[in-house]
Amino acid sequence: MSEIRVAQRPALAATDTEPATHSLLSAVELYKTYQLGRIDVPVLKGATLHVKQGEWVAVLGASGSGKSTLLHLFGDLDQPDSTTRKSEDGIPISKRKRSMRRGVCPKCNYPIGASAVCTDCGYCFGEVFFEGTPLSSMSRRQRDQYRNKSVGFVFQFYHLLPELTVLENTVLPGLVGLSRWRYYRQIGQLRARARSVLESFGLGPRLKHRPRELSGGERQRVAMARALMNQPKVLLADEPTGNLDEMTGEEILDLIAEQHRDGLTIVMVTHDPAIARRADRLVQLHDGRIQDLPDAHG
Amino acid sequence: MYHALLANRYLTSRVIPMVAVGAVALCVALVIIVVSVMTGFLDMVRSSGRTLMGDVIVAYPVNGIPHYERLIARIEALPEAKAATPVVDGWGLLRMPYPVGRRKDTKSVQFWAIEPAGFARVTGYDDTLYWRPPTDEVSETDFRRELPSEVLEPVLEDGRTLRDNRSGKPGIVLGVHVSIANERQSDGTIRPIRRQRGDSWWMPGYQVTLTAQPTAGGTMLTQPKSVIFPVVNEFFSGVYLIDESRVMIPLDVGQEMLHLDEGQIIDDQQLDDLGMPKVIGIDPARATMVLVRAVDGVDATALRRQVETAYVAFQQELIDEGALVPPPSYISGGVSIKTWAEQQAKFIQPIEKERELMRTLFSLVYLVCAGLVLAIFWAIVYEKTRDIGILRSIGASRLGISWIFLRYGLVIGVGGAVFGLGLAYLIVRNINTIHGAMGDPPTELIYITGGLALTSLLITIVRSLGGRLLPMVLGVLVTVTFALAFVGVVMLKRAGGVVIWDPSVYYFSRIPNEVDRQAAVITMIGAVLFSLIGAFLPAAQAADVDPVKALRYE
Ligand SMILES: Nc1ncnc2c1ncn2[C@@H]1O[C@H](COP(=O)(O)OP(=O)(O)OP(=O)(O)O)[C@@H](O)[C@H]1O
Ligand SMILES: [Mg+2]
Repeated sequence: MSEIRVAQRPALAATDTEPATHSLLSAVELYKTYQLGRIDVPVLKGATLHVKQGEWVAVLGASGSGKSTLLHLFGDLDQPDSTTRKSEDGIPISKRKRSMRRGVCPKCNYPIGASAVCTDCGYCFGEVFFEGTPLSSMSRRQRDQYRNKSVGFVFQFYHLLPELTVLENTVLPGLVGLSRWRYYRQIGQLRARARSVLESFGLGPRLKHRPRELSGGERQRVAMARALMNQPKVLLADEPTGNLDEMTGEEILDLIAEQHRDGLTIVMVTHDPAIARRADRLVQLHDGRIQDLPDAHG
Repeated sequence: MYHALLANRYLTSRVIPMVAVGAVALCVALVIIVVSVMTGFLDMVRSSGRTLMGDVIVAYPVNGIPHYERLIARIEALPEAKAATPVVDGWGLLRMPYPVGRRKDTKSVQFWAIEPAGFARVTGYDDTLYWRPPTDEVSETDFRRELPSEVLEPVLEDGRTLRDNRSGKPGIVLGVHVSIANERQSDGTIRPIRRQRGDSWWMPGYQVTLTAQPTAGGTMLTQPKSVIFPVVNEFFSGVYLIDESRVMIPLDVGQEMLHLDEGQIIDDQQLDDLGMPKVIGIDPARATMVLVRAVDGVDATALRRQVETAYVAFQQELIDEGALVPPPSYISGGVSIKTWAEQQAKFIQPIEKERELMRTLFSLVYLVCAGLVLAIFWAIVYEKTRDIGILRSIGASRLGISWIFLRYGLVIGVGGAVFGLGLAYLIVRNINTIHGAMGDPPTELIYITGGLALTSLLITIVRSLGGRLLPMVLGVLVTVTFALAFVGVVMLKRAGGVVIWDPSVYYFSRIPNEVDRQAAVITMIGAVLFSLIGAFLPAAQAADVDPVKALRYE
């Protein structure tokens, strides 16, 4: 049995979490435990990672080390234990959320603002921060918007909707959250945007095709276009080249690099060090925690 | 707005939703058809009352109401009453002109002795006269087209006056099914069968003999009376029981036959100057029924109350005058005053109950709709779990996801309801044609079904050369369906067709063919509502899909 430690950790220096307020995207002391029947399987055990604006971070790690899990927490597809499981400090989840929204420590009520750690008693949230705001303090609607506008996902298996054409798949994030009234006013604009992204990815002649008529590399480029449709601040890529041959993989990485040059922040998960080398910064997920690796270029 | 796009794509990219729309449509059509036919049946029963008897009936069977003319005058003075007319009814034997030879058929009939002009004002008598010059709507095959209008015009006039206007003799009008020589065609028209010698047993042109046993008076034994009538026309009310058993004769003749005509009251004890029994007064003519028609828009029940009051006043007036033969008392004398619906209550009420039962039973159909949509959507949500995960990952809300499926259910419900209405409309409007075709399947149907079976067999053989199983199985299914239809039609043809709507059972000779609008609207709303209810569960299930689990594996 593993214990769930979201509780106080006096040893943790405040400086460890301070960057959360300065980074674009941060994971602070994330715990994630899966349950297989009655057995708890801890995957993340206090993972902390700060991603700065404009940075390209590659997360390396063995298969099953929890890379995808970390990315899902970043993208709010899943929530860390701190907001889903009762912790041993005895503070109910609802109280934690309430305190967090008010910017006070749930244990000692010391004002901590948007920080993840109480400077008074050392109490620590396991939390994902976006632009300094904890995701768990957002409303459902705000989180839907976060997934829709702030981050873009690219998956290993493309995950395109088979019934929709290339163009429709790409436009989709633009349609989500659009009211009927705004739809009629904006659809033309959205289509134009999708078309231009697709064309810049070399998919101009493929707009009316269905995903099953495309090659793997083409599908991944459509997925990239979809992820970038709403001009997100962060691209979350989970083994984007994992299903492609080396050549095609390189092409996708070139596209990512190009977006990176234009200022896009990227968190990319991979288990291939060769691919990871194209990033600015390398980290490794090992035993549920993030370790820095020597710089790719240094 | 992605909901519309996705609901649309999920709907059009597979066959099951189309099957669901079809199934909902069939259910909706079924309910609308059944309820429409039953409602139409009830309406026909109700309106046939007016056609046959007017709105209110004052009846004093056997002995009849004396001084009925004064009752009628009183009733006609009522603002609620449009017209009133006397009837003498009785039973008799009718000797038919057929077959050829000395022994003729006889038939027991109910005769109504009427004043045709007044009777036509109260009932729909004139319109029921069948032999008349054909209008443009009358079909080409109608027997009436074979008769010259020089024949039909005087026949119609004779029917209206109940008189053979050439000889001046009182005539008789038979219900169109009194004569077994009249055969109903599949198009609903009447055609008399041919005689061996060429011309046909067309009744206007023959004579019949009506024999009645007078029953009035009670004590005196009377001789049966026979009168020979020329048949002047026939009537077709659409109510089979009436068309098969009723004949119309002039009022005065009927009164005479039943001894209800005006007579002298004599005293056996006194002798007059000539040594004959002394006449002490007049026994007035009588009518066994007075039929009353309401002014348009006046409720029959309201009219009945007024007629009751009028009758009581009429009776009192004659008693006050010291009439020798006063009318019977309404309260204690056995006179009945009823609306037509009350008269027929025993007949109408079970039909109304039956219709409610049908409505309730067939409401189960809604559950079928809900179940169908539920099962299909459940399968689709299961299949689309990954899509749902993807949509969530790009920011779709849980509500938005469930809205896709609710919308989808709405489309299936509305589509099914609309197609169902269309189907029901087509079938109900053409129900008599369809029924007629079942009774007498057209020969083309044999060629059509046979041809379709052969064609699909050929296509199946060609398609299955490719070695694929699905087209073969599908082809065999379709071929078997057509082949069965072919065999069915052939057997139907050989059996001489089936008649489900037997007029002698169902009272009317035509199946009602009006769509019951209220039932249609309720059924359609029900189908849409229950399709939505069926979509709710899968929609909630879709909203609960865990995006991580949905996305984890290919
Ligand atoms: N829903 C779940 N229930 C139970 N265990 C799970 C669940 N999801 C993930 N796991 C387990 O969590 C661990 C981490 O999974 P994760 O997908 O994050 O690994 P990964 O580093 O992305 O691996 P890979 O490189 O193979 O993609 C694995 O051991 C996996 O079996
Ligand atoms: Mg993974």
